[in-house]
Amino acid sequence: MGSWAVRRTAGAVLLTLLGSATLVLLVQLLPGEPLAAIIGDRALDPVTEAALRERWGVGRPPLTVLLDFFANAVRGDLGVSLSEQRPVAEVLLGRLGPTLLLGGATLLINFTLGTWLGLWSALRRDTAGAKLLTGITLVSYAMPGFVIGLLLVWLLAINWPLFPAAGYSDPLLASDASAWTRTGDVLRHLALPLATMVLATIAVPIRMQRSAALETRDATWVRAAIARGVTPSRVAWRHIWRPALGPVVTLLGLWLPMLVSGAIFVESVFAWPGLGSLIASAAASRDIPLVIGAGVLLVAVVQLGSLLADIVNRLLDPAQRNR
Amino acid sequence: MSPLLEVTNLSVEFRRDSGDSFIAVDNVSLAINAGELIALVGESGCGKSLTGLALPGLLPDGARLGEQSRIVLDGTELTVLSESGLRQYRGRRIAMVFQDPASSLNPVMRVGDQVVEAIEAHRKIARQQARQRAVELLAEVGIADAGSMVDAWPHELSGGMRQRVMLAIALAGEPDLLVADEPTTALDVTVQAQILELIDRLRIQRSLAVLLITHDLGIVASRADRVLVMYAGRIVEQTTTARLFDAPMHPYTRGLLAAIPRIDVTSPALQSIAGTVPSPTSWPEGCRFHPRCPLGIEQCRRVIPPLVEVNPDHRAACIVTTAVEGA
Amino acid sequence: MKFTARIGVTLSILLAAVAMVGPWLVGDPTVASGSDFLASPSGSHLLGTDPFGRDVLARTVHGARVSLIVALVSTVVALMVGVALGVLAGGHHNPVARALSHFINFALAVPRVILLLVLVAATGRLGPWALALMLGLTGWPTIARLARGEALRLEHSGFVTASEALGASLPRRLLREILPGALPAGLVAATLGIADALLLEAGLSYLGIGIRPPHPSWGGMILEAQPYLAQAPWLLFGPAVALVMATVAATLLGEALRARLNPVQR
Repeated sequence: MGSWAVRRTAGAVLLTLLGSATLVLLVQLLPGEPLAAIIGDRALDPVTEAALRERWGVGRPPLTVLLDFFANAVRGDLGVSLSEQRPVAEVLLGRLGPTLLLGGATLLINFTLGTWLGLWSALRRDTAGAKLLTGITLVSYAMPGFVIGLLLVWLLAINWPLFPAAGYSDPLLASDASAWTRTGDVLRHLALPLATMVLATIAVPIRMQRSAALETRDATWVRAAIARGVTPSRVAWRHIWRPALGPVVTLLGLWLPMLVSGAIFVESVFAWPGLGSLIASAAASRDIPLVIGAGVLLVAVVQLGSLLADIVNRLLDPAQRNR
Repeated sequence: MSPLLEVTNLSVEFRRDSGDSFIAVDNVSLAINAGELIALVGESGCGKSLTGLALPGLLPDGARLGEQSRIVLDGTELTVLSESGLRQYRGRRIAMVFQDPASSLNPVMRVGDQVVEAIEAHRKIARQQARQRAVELLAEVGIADAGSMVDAWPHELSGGMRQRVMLAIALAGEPDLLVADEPTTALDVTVQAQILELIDRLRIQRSLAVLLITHDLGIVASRADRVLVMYAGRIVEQTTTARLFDAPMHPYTRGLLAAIPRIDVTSPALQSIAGTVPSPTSWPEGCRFHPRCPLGIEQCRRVIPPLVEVNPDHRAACIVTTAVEGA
Repeated sequence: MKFTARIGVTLSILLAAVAMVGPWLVGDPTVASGSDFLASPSGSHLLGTDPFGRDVLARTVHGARVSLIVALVSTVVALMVGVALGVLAGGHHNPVARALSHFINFALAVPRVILLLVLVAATGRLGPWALALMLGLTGWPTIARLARGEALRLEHSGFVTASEALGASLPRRLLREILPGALPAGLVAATLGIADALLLEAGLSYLGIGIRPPHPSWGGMILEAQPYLAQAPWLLFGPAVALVMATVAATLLGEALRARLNPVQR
């Protein structure tokens, strides 16, 4: 287990580096020196402009730019945002929290509600309820996140004004409001973006859990457990759900990229001040240092998630744990 | 002494999606006394496994008991029990062991925990005591070093050891009846002998009634008190083991015995029974064995032969042999 | 054919027809009716009009054409690149194949949206064709992974080994036996990829960086509809329903193809 973990972590680091390199080189290698054009488009003072040209290697070999990028990144310096005139790292840090909140809550719900629904629809395979669930998940999966988001806004923020339509918190909230009130305020703002994310992505864990449970449901050990008088609920959790967990956790790693891209659009719909809406607006304003910085961070997050999923999965499977 | 288990007119019917149904087990009756080992012998598809599954009420989806079926365990009629009623019997009065030890144990649960689960299913007991009992059971089924084996994972055990664990789990509820469905088929020959010996020993020590379901006449010869031969859903012969091997009455039984290669007889070719086993959806009219039977006559095609008593404690379902050779 | 498959095929044909012929049947999407701003659906404007007075139905139909063409072109690009690389990576065990396999795995590691955002940021305003190309060049890894899996399976199969025993060279084996075998799976992946491409293009257009004015696009229409959600919700429904229908159609079609091709193969 130990040596495997080291190798796997090294793999994740390598993929993060390669992914980041791709993003940096992509810009360098495009024809027409786009960076030069972008920098030129903005009215910057000559000193800043020179510094930017220097850093982003207008005219320098791509490999040098890449190595410099990593050298700087390790020290926490990801350049300066063209649109905000602040260090990229600072901007990213400021937007990290809301994304972690939204993403974390989505993962939590998807993996509790999602696995429960998946198990339920496997056990009640032939009922109308299960078939209805399959139909609903198919439709929600086909609808893009931003469409779901706007529908929810119209339904629950405009038609029946239950939740705020956008933002992270109420700008008019008094500065001396209690922590309790603040938290409540954020949660109210979180409601619709969270509901959107869940609706857009829960179909995947439901389906994965369902197919995994359908397989274990027919296993001999399930029949053997019933034969010794184990109660149906214990059979469902201990003998059908638990052995089916492995594949679901593994697939979590593969499903993370979907979560990230979903976040980009959903955050934009709700003006949720996270990394997703950041990278989207940065792309729109062609703020390349910011786009690359955010992109690198998101790639790292995805790799980290995949690594954790693989580790958890290996721990869950006794056959692999001890090797 | 009245039998521990008395099964009368057991039938299992399957309903298919297309609406039509077919019968897989047709009017099977048997009785087992405490401490007896009865073998239910037949080829795949004859319905013997379903017969075993019917006893603790574990028939698969789509299968139903026939209306006339009666299963009486120690005076209680099991066919009228609800699911939760049956659950009181499973493990506690009737225990079952299945064919494939590789998948009979939950791969993500320690072996000992599965034994403990079986113990706790039927009585209130402290976890520590249950664990202690689990170790005892594992030792009883012949697992060396039971104290540390109790924490092993299923994949760490060999097939034979897993089957021993299954037996320990089966014994956890202190059952009166053990139904063993092809318990040795998936094991190596030497391990087969060990497991059978273990079952026999447990039977004697605990006065366990055992229903051994198998297709292998060889293992029957050494262990069973009585044998029931099944073909195409029906019992075609039933008697003591000795009598079956000495003087088989049903042509099918004779064919099975003749097909066993013998080391003391030189013969030019292996004997086999002509034809193939019919599937439950296309059983022949009349005696289901008649298309393959060397003794078949016209009447065999028209009527299903009943089990008649040829000799004391020896019944066979063949109109030809029972008429000619019977008492 | 299964019920859902039938829906998929019918819907796909319907949408294709609308995309091809529709624009001639409906009005001009760019014409601004001088008086009817933000009109709710009525006889003369079945889906209402937008803030500039343009007919929403006309814009939705014209948008269909652009979106579908972009999705199709990008899928064709992804299919060609993906199948080629996948077959090369899986059709043999030489170092090149191994390197390609690693490359495919690595390519799958960067989320497609991020790549697209970087590309868009770097290249600025894109016409639909350039957008289609970019979508295709970021979409090949999924197809390549599948094609590689098929190629690996085929490479071990009897008839390919037999062909090798008869002296067929590697390129010949790849071209004549493995490629045709991997193609059906690639096609299924590609059809499902159309749905992904549609959603991505709509998403990018919604963010303002995909298909830009004056070309109408469903994503762009949804973006324009957002500020008017309270007063004129119908602006959202036209393009949203069209988008969902198109995605569902492509997905069901892909599933139908998969069901069709599998029994033949296995």
